[in-house]
Amino acid sequence: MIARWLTQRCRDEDVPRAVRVRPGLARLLEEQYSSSPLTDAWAGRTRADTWTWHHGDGRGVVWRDRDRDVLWLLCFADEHDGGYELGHALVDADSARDRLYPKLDPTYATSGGPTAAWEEFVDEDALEWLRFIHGAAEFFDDRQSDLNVGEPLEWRAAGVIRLALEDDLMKLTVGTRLVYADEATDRDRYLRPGEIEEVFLQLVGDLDDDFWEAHVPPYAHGYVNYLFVPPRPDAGAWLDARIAEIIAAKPRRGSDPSRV
Amino acid sequence: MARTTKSIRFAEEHQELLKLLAAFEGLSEGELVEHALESFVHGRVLAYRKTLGLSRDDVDVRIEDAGELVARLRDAMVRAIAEGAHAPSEDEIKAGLRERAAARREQAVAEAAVPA
Repeated sequence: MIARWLTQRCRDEDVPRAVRVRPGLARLLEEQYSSSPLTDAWAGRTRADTWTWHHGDGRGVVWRDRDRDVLWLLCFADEHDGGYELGHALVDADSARDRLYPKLDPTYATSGGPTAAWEEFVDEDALEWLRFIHGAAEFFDDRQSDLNVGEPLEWRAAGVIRLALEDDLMKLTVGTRLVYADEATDRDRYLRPGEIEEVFLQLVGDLDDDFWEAHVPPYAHGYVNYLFVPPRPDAGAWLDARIAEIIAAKPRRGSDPSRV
Repeated sequence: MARTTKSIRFAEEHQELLKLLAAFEGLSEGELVEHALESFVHGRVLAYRKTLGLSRDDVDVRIEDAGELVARLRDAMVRAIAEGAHAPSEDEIKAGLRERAAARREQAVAEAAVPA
């Protein structure tokens, strides 16, 4: 649910107004998240595992702390006790329901989740897209040993991305359908060809145009294969480097995630 | 849309399937083939894009609008066929990639051998 409260709106419209809380938030981030750069204000906003939200005059940030395996929720406001109030507002008064954030989402309804139709909140779509790419990269990183022994890797979220070695080449397969498991507004849809290609290019990075080709077998429906030459002789080394770039949220040169 | 008669030969079981499917879908056989062609082209257009010299924007069409894609591809396909091009097979793609990768390696070796 929090994934629907995106950073861009807070960054552009709200954060500049919350002058007094910014130093405190920065200190808190530094204490809880030692690798945060902090030299770049709100650098975390483009990380796929970090989200901010806003409510009234208060602002907050949430991220999954993978080292500690917890989800941090920070509440802060430019008014006395405002952060505490926001924190309390995050939890349903009925503890039996055990549900977070009922007051934060104006579209909240008990019958469904908060996700909205595509293109209703373009910034949210863009960040969800980054999260999808980031998730795949992390998954490929975790399972790289399987890839090296010849097992294909298959990342499944709303869509499917598969990575396999083909002798000296690599093959990345992108499913053309996004299917969401939640009961929210129906967002299932087909990716456009441009979006499919963007998934591939975002994952592989600045690959020379001569060294990749799309291939769709005549019998295939629902996926596109990309065959490519890893930019380095050692595919493992290339994958390591590319994944590190993605996890550091370094966009592909010339890419514009908001485009999708 | 103007429709004309086109006589094509294909397997008997598929002719029967065409009649059954058209009846089942409530479409004419021609409409069904039209939909199938558009769907086929949309599903494979990324594999055609480079060969046809099209940009990503040219092919970035929703599946619901696949008919637009067919119209955009027509001229490019006519040109490509006239130049002897065809949709490459997976083996041809792999061979081409390997060839270019080998050329790149040879070039790198040659450049490294040139004294500074």
